[in-house]
Amino acid sequence: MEIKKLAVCGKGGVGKTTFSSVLSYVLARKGREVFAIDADPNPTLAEALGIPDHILADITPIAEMTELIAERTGARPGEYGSFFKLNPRVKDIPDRYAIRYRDIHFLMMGATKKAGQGCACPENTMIKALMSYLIVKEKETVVLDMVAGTEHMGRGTAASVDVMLIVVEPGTRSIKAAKQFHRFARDLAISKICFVANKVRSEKDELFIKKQMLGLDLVGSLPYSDSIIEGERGGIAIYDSDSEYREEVSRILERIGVR
Amino acid sequence: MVEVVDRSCSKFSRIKGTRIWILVICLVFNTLALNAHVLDELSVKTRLFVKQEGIDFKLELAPGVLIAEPFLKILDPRQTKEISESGRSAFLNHVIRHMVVLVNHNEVSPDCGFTEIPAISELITGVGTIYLDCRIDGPIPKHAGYDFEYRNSLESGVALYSLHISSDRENQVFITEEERDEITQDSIRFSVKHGFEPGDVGHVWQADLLSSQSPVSNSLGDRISDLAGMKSLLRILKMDRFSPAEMALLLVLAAAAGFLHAFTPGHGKALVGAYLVANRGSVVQAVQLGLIVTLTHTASIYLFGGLSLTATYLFLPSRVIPVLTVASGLLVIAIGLYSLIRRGLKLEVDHAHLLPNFQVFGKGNVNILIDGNAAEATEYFSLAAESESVLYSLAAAGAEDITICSTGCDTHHKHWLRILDENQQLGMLKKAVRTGAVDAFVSRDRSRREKIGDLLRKKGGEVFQPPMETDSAERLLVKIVGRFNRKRTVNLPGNEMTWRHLFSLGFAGGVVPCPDALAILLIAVSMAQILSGLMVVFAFSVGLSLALMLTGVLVVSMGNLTIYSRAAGKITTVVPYLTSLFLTGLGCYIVFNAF
Ligand SMILES: Nc1ncnc2c1ncn2[C@@H]1O[C@H](COP(=O)(O)OP(=O)(O)OP(=O)(O)O)[C@@H](O)[C@H]1O
Ligand SMILES: [Mg+2]
Repeated sequence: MEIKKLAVCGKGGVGKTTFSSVLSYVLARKGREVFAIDADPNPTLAEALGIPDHILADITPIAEMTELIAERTGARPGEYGSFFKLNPRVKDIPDRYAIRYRDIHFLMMGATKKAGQGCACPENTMIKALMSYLIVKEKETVVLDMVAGTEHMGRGTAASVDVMLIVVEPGTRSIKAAKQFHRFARDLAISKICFVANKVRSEKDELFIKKQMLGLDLVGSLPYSDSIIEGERGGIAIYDSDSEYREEVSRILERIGVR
Repeated sequence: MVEVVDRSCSKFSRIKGTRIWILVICLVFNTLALNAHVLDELSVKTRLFVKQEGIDFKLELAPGVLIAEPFLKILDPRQTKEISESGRSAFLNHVIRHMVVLVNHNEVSPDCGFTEIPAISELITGVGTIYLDCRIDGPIPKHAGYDFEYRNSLESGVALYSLHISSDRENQVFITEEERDEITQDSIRFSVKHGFEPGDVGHVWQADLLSSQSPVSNSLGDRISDLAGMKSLLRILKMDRFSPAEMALLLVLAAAAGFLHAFTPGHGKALVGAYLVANRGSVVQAVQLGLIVTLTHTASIYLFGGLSLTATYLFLPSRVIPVLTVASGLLVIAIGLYSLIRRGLKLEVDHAHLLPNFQVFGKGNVNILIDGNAAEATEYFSLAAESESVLYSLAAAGAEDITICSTGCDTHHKHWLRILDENQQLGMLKKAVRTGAVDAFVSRDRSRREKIGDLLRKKGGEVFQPPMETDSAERLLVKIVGRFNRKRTVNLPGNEMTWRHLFSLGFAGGVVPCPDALAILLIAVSMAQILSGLMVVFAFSVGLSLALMLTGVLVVSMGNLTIYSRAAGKITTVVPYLTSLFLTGLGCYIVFNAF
């Protein structure tokens, strides 16, 4: 089966967004139509993709499209308790609202209110339905930059994720968090769960991670690179700023079975 | 403040301009005077003029519309609408009884007589002023002094006293000492000297120099300054006929006066505001409420105006208005308690944030209601809804689409009113089921399925347990769609803020005629200016309701600002209780204020 739905998660600041951006470009370079989805409430994927500020300024996150949400769910964000449709029509949204930049289709989900499980507010409903659609129904490749990987995703949707890539860095905290995400992902019955080491500065770092990840599917280690940080400052796509990183991403894709 | 403005008005009035301009100035500058309900008070004004031959007292008694009754009882005990001779002397005795005059510490009784007495109709409407002239004779010996003391206690509960003192300086009568109660202005003690002694110059009491030298004036200006604000409107109306331009201006002014008047306590702003907040009303409703208040108010003034004029003594404004006030207060309490109880019992589920928008259900759709506890099922259903077997059965059943609905956020379950909110959720679900648009209810909770089940089956629907994966969701959907009946009767109500609610509140807010407006009508009628009176009253009511609408619209737009945040969402669950309580409290306030 062809791997098309890739979810990237991991502890805050480990490099999920950096990795997702490069992953998206590498997949696009292979000739795929790629939807890069920023599902982080604190969105930075657009910058990592090198989308220039003037385009960025025009992007409205889906969660903030009040009129659209009201039209599709029958309730306005912020209206609590009224009845609304839990299965809004979202089919047309990826094509209509995604920003096309270089070969990437970019969608920003935006911040939904932090709420307990089972909270069905119009904007949450909309995002959930859209995520579900992108993962289950979308024909093209989808790369998701997420926080924990489980928000907005129920078992029904998770079943269609082809691979979940959990990013770790050489530090006990990120590894501990990664193992927790692993448990979550397994509970959601995600079929393929892999780990990617990032910010690896030395052999020692790599050895440490390998030792910690014993028995788990570690599919690659991305080097720590000053040029990434420099490129970030210059506002250029991370894909363009470091070739070593880029090549390791290609190898990771090969290892998980993407052709 | 009021006093200062009054003076400015009387000064303007001396310039012989159109009286309308005087009115404009008075209305513009006298907004504070508008707030003072002069009509609820008795103004007792005494002007003392010390002469060589004795002391003149000029008394002006101006009872407001609500307190004219005790006077009427004395002046016209048989209710003949005429003031009899016996009534006159009884009234004089009444006034004299409440006056104490001491000359050199010996009590003396003044001689009193009427200089002017208004018609009964004017007294009833609270615009008549009684003028009395009293005297104490007895020349003040040259080069000798006298001590005087004067006290007035007429209707001391409601009266506002004022004292003016002056002396005949031309004939060398001087006030050398003065001592008065500065706050109540109901008593004064002073010493008088007659004749000029060189050594006395320095002792001449300064206040005397400041006192008014002019005799009591009955000029138009004086009357206007006397009765600033609303009362001046009455006075103007009383003068004579108007040109159309003057009339138009008068109407605008009446509207302005009504507008400003609405911001004095007890004119239903709080009522309107509280109600709109509690029910999350719209701008349109704010306007509707304002309209209802205007109509009720105008109608009630016309009605009571008519009654007062036809059956004067049966419908004395001073008796009717408190009764009406109590009645409307009780009505407000009833509304407040009613909604509080309903909210307490969670029978009222359409409060603040819970206005159900049943419009999401479509008549042609298969509508599935999902309980908050079965959120997981939503995903399975949504995915299954697009499967071929479901699409096929949809087409077969002649349904357009599948709508999966929920009552929304679960924050209620973490709320301190958990048990009550359970009822509330159930109430919402039942309301939805009653529309007849619900085809299936899915809940994990058996007792909930049972509670909803009977009602739903009557409407042709069914309850189900949530599916645990997409395949069983698909099978369940096919089953639900298969049961779908295009011809089921669906009744999707719109916004639930009913006319009944709106009307009862607007009625309560407008039914008590504002005494000022009532007085306008009564005096206009008694001056045979019925049409202008009716028009002015209407304009006044329009101004009043504009103010209410403005308040309503402000409340509504502010409500919309706050409702769009989650924290506010929580607050809005509490607000309706508070507003219900507030309404009850407000009703109590109105009732107690009526006495
Ligand atoms: N391989 C790397 N070498 C050097 N710096 C890196 C590398 N990967 C990521 N970084 C830097 O680490 C920071 C965090 O990276 P990134 O935003 O990709 O992480 P994240 O996991 O998406 O964070 P967040 O949880 O805030 O979304 C960035 O400043 C990025 O430049
Ligand atoms: Mg990120």
